[in-house]
Amino acid sequence: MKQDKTLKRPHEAPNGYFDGFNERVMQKVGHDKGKKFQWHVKRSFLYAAAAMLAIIGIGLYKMLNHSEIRVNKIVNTSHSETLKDTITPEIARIRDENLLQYLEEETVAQTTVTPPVAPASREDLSIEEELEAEGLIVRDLETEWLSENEIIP
Amino acid sequence: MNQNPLSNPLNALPDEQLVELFVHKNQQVLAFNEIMNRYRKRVYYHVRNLLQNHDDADDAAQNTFVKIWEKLDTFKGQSKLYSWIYRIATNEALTILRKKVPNISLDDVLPENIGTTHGHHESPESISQKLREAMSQLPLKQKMVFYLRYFEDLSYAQIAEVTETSEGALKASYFHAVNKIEQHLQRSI
Repeated sequence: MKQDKTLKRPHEAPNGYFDGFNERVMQKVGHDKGKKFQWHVKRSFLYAAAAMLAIIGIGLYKMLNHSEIRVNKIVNTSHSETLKDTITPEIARIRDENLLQYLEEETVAQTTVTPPVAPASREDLSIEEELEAEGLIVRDLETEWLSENEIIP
Repeated sequence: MNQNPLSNPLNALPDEQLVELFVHKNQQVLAFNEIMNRYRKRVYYHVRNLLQNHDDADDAAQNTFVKIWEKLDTFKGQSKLYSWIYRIATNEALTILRKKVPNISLDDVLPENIGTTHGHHESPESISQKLREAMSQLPLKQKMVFYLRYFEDLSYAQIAEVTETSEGALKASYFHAVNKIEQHLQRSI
């Protein structure tokens, strides 16, 4: 049992202050386990969402960074440098041989092409008329559309 | 605390068993309510003594129990429950004080403009007024030791658990506090 005090407690709580004190505290802590659980669920969801966003962000960053490196590689590597670095004397020899062969084939092809038919001279026309007169050639009206230079054998 | 033991079987349980009950989730709210019933007044008056302002004391008291709710399942029982609760309450009171007076410690005297706001529920007795004035001039630690020893009847060993100070230092603090209060009361009464 407490001894009687000469001095009384220096402060008093307001009347009725302790009524409902527990309820006020329980409201602050989330009423009951259910609400506490709800808050845990909400918090877990927020953490999961934040983690997902972070993963997506990191993924995007890495992807962009990687493609940037590739672009930079391509941009920074000039064509001449690439050839210089990759063409060996052997490849150069084969390339030159192929080029030479190609040029030769081109020349042959050009020489074998049928030269264009030269326009018929007056002499040719007179010969044609003579042949027609002798009945050796028959001028077919349907072939009139043909060029004058085309002679039907 | 004032409930009929028959209406609340938890009344008869010692603190240690309440803590054990709290860990079992289906008994958590019941155990916590019983802890509040036992300690809400003590916590309130303890922080009120340090803060001397009802609104601040109310905040500190409620925050104390919120902390208890959050941390009780980690309470190891290495100290008594009441000393653990008083420590939390003291820290909550200091947290509120530091918002007004940064870097204040238990060895400091509360500035005059802090804690002198008398609520409309103050006791009309002049002796209480004089006591408040005398205690307001004490450093926080002396005030706390005097309050816990004189009004809460805690032993020095118990106060040592709360304040984590040696009993010798506590006795000295209490001695100084009593001297100062006596001098003040003799001068003013």
